[in-house]
Amino acid sequence: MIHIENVSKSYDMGRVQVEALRGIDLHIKRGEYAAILGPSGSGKSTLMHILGCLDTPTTGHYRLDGSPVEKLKRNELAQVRSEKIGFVFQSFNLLAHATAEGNVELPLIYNGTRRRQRRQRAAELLERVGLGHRREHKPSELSGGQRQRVALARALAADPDLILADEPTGNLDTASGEEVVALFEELVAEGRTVIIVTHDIEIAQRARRIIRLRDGLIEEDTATRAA
Amino acid sequence: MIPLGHIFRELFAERTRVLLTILAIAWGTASITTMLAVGEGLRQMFGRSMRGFGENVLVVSPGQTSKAHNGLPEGHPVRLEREDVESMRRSIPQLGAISGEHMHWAPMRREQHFRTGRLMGVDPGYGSMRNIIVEKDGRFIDELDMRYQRRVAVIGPEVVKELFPAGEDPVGQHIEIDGRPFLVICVMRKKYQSTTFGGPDRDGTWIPGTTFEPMFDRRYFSYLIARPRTIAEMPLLKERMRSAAAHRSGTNPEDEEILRYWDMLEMQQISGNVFTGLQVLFGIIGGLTLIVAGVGIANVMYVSVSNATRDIGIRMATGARTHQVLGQYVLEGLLATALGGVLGMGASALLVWGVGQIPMQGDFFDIVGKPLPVLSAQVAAIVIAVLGAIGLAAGYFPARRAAQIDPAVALRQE
Repeated sequence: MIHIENVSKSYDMGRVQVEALRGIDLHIKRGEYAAILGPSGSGKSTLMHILGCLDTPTTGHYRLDGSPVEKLKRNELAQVRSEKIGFVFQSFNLLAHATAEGNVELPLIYNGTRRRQRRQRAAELLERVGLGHRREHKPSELSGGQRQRVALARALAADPDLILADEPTGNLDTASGEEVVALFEELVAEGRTVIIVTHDIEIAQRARRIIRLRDGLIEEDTATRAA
Repeated sequence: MIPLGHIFRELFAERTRVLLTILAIAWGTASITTMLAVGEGLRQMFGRSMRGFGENVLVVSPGQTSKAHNGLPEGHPVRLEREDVESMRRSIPQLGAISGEHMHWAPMRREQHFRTGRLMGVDPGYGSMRNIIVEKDGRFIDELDMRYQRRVAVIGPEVVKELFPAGEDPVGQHIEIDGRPFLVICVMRKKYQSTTFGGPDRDGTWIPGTTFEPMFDRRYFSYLIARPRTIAEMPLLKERMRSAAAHRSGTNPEDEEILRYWDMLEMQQISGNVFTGLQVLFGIIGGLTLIVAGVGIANVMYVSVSNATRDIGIRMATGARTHQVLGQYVLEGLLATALGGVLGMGASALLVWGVGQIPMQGDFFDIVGKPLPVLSAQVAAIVIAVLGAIGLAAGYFPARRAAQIDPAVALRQE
């Protein structure tokens, strides 16, 4: 599903050029459950942004589902995100003034789903993450774990094949974190590809494959080691 | 497209800021609308009172020669009499209507009520040229009155007030003019009038010219009133009338001074231009106010775009296309403008109505008319067009900025 070859990414920070990624090769198959592990500054967030088509690599190639995405325009990237990718973030990234339902509906608004179907889908997904009774609540009225489950429902709204999670348990207590991780495992069981970016070794070890990142390079990849 | 309900919730979330913006737009709209309404009211008032004197008419007063010609010295007076009018009527095809006018201050009486006022001797065509409209059960002076030199009179509403103070119907009654009995055949309908010669028509009395002449031993007219067949023929008419007058008096037809013209058509056009200019001025002032308000909207939208950078990142991460982000902010701008516009126009309508309730009394308002502001469809159309343009611009620029935000950068922002 994901084929990354020799991808690097550098940022201009005033005069200094920061190399966040320095030539990475990575292949992830459909249905894999992978964790990208590394300390902060290792380039894992940058990698996730590129994987999620939020950003494009400076050099190198990225093929998602067989089609090259490294040269796509803003709107084409948006299209890819809309159809194929669901995001879960550390800080939840919910719209503060929208209800749980409104947040879950967001991807469906942008892909042009009709209102009635949006409502139905949002209700189903909130039910699925155990928040069927919290549809009308604003994020500020929900606990951290609940917020992250709303975010997960939103990530699933457009039924994407790839779920990208950036430190999904970073702001959660152990119990809530466990609930969220359990949900990810359900998604893997359904055949979705789940990639979790984290610096928490315990969370990473739940995945079937661990990719260790250090200073913009892959230090270790359990898949290649096994192979 | 993005559902409207979603946009409304967004606006509601920013309600304080949006409310202030809407108020600014409402203020701008109210000021431009009211100013245009005031301008329109003035224009209509002057148009109305201009028509009161008579539309497209030419007032001709006899002058004198400005240089010696054909044995006549400089300063030789030119006079116009009934024969002149008749010969002009016959020989000038551009003439739509013509009438001579005599004037005399004459004592009038009915029973114990006395008054001295302006008495005019005129021809049948005079009434329609000078917009002297007869009240329902009357008629203006006609050809038979002229032929038989009848003692009939048309009187203005002020004359009625003085001679018939008890409110009787004057039509069919007799009044005495300079000691002789006259039958009142009609009362002039009240009208507004900005131009007068000698006095407003409301206190005039008109009798047939042929009756007037022997009565006061008068031969030469004070004025001629004429109207061209079509307004395009006005310049030619002036020329033809001058040459006709020159021909009969033996003066030089090239001499501009032998007839003096007061061209109402020209006055109408000048005042039309003046009021159009005034409207443009009012429009510009109001428009500037509105633009200031528009800048306010743009400012508020810029601030909300900056505050919402992260939200915009979230929207993009969840699949929003550039045009969807753009559309949302443009729509928010337009919606705020529309709400402000409706509010402002409502306030202006209320103000216009309020001004209409102010009693305006006195001779000026009675004769010239009341300068009531008018909210015409034209005014509304102009305001809506200006509002739309401002709303669009105020929404578009912040929206473009929002749509260009880099989602990866936006999401990194705390």
